[in-house]
Amino acid sequence: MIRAKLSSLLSPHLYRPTAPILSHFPSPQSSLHVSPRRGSLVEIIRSYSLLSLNDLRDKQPRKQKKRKGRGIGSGLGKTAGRGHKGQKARGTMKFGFEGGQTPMRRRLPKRGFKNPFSLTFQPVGLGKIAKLINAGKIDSSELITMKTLKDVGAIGKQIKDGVRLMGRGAEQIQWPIHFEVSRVTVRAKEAVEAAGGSVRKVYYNKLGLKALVKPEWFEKKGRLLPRPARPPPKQGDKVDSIGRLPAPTKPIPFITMKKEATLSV
Amino acid sequence: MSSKQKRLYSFLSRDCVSLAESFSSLKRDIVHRVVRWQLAKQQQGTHSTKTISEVSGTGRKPYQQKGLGRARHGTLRGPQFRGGATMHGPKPRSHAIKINKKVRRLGLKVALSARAGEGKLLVFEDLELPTHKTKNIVNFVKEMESTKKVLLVDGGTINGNLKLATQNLHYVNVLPSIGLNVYSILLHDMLVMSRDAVNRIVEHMHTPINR
Repeated sequence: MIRAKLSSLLSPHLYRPTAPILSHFPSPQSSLHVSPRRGSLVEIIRSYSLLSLNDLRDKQPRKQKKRKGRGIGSGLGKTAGRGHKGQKARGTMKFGFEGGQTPMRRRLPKRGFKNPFSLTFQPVGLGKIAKLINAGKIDSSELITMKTLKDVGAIGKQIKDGVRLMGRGAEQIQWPIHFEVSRVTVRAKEAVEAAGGSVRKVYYNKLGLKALVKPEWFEKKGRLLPRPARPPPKQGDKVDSIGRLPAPTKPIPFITMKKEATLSV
Repeated sequence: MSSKQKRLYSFLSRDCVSLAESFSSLKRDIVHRVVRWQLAKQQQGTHSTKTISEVSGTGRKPYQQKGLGRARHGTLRGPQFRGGATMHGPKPRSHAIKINKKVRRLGLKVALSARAGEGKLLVFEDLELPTHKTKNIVNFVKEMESTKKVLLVDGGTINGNLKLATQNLHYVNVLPSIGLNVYSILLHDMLVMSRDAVNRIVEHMHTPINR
């Protein structure tokens, strides 16, 4: 016999140290043996299992295939969804051909061009940030950078060229919070400063953003973190300062004197 | 016996998904996908039919187009003919589907925790038998109620006595711990493992999946 099994041979029931779960049983037709043993331990032996091969289904039901030309009842018999006669019924017509009439794609005018230097920023509303602070996911005593926003999930998985702080839910900000983001809207900035915080617009190029958000990628490759780049002349007015690498934790305070509006690291 | 089992549950609950005791919290769809993957990769896929180029016979036009009063034909091996080709028939192919390794691992965890949650998971010190007699195993299974099939999982290679004793029983199956899979777990009501097997499985679950 298998060793250490004698005790169970003697006892008529097998011990199951699961908690009594009578309330969870859904169907009335399951036969349930409950045998109280030694007072405290109640054992339940199910007659059907929680997970069996005949009780599996996926979340998405599988779609049926369309079988054309298989009888009247299917709805796709005889002409099989092609109507009656003509070139389309007998063969294929080129997509977008309108019988010789100028097709729509030639009737409508072309427009515009694609600017290779345009920047897209991911928007985040102040209300969302307030909600995350209340939930405890963002530490409001530290500086909030684009890295913390991405890690927490405020902007999703992609940062394209940076983050733009927007004003939806601005009235929920009541404490001083310090931000370092790419762009801010006027109202969002007013709301944050009214509560006593500060917003600093920083510049990161693509490489700098990668170094900010994923410094471990550089470590894995055995490279040092790059030096943060200064903004090109066209973007110089739109930002306050150069971003710092690695992700900073303390905000740089704005000096109200006109001499120095920006500080370099 | 009960102390041994208590140790088991603290062991496994560290690694399994929370021991699900109600229906809704079990991830059935994951288990469904893993079982479907297992059965699909098992398919042999050696079904084959002949297309019109493969059916033996000539491609000559059987008779002239006009003047005979018969229907027009270009070949005697078209799909409408007896002995002709099969249109869009099956060809030998693989039915295997792809499932992420992490999903496969999660399926195993869900299956194990389902069996543990309903109390159908037993762990022994080891699964060594003194004799190769089948009678002992038969008695062991008989005295467990509401169990029709038992799966014994041992650590490394299965020892000879266990193999011989369970060989002739259709309701008892033995697997080494590497062979533990969701379909087998679901197929059998009761899962009996040795401590060595549990350790190996826990270690395997902890090794990270690398690309």
